[in-house]
Amino acid sequence: MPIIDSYTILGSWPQAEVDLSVEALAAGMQARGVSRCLVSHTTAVFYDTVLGNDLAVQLSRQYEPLLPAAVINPLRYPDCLAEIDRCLSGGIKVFRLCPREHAYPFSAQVGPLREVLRRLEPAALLLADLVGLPQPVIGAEIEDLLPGPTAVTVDAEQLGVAIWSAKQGQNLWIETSRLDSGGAVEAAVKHVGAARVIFGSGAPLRSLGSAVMSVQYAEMSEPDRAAIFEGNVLRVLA
Amino acid sequence: MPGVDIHAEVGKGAWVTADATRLQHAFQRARFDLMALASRRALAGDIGAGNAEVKALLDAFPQARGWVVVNPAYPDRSSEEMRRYLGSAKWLGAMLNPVLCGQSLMSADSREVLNAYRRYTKPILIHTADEPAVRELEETAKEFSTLKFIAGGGGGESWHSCLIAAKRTTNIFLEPFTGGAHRGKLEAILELLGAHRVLFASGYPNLNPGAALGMLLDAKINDADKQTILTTSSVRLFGLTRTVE
Repeated sequence: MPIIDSYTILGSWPQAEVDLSVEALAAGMQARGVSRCLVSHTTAVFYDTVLGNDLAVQLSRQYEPLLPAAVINPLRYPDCLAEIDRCLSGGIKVFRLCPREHAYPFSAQVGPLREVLRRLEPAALLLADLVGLPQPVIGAEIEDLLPGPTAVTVDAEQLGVAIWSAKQGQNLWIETSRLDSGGAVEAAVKHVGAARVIFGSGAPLRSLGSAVMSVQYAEMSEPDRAAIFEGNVLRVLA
Repeated sequence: MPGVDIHAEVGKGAWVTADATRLQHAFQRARFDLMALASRRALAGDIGAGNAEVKALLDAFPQARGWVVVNPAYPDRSSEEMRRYLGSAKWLGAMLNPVLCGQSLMSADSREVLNAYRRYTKPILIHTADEPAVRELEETAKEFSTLKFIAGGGGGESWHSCLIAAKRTTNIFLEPFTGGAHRGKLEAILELLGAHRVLFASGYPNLNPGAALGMLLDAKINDADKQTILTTSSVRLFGLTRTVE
């Protein structure tokens, strides 16, 4: 079954010595049959979005299966708006928000985030890793502001809030990399619909095999699994 | 690849209730030979009713083994539970989760429970989630040098500290599968410690069994070491029958 991994990260991990090279990611992709990856760069997350996003673009040019996911930090307002415009004009379709690393709640209470989301209207897909944020992990009013499909990474404890938010509209999607609890992927499919769940791994920081097998072990129909592994991301990137 | 799952739990999880039917389904799907169960109800405080739930499963399910959950907040009841169950080979040992008990492993009550446990000569599984827990486990393992300790979760994000602690303290075994799917973790553990002190656990229902199995299958270690982790280490540590190998 073909797989698109919507959550990968390359660069240098500041908290431990981990091999986050293209080679490490490519080896895992080959072993697990992953055909494409949406990739962000650690430099964009932890240091400078402009430099880091350029590095992600460079890596995606070196290795065709990679598609850059540009990191945007709303707290760097108004420069973040210029970075969105620069990335969009450079052909980037996928963007990543990092509320935990950049220390803001995923909520409409953050004024710059409201403007960032408006400016991201032309994007095909937004990604946001919310694991580690305090509850409620998603502001109750955020769904109204999402400009298009926005896949959030949540863990099993946060999933209930994510499901509630997803039910308020059509734009909040769920990414699977931290849904490694028994029954969690199934719950996302049941309550949000397989058409709004996408596969992600966190590789090469985290084990790609573990992420893939979590979804393979989840009990669902094969068409639903195919949509999660590949179809949904293909649809929005088309 | 058959194997021994040294830690699954019976009871209500966040998104699935691991009752007898679901446990059996998970067990068969993963093709485990043995699955060792602890009670989530017991871990949540009701050790009497919770451990009895596990006893009922052990009676009904020949391939199940059990963990007696102990809680230092109830040292006398913990001793009773140990006396009630640990004479049987179907119980692998005791399990203690300091976080859920709200008790440090260094507390007087924890010491009392560990002292009472010495006579059973079975391993004890201690949930070891972070750096302070690793330090407490190492100190405790040194003090109770005749006991064998299993670091459940293998230190979580502090897995490297836990690995160093296990290297320094030969009566600590590692169960790293329920502490996060860090890539490269198993390879590092095997390089420093060897496969014979590493045990496999699914963590079901806190985790989907695929998460742990995928982590093991992905690791760049040879098949013999994978088999040791899945089976031989537990067979040796718990004195299981050779049929599970």
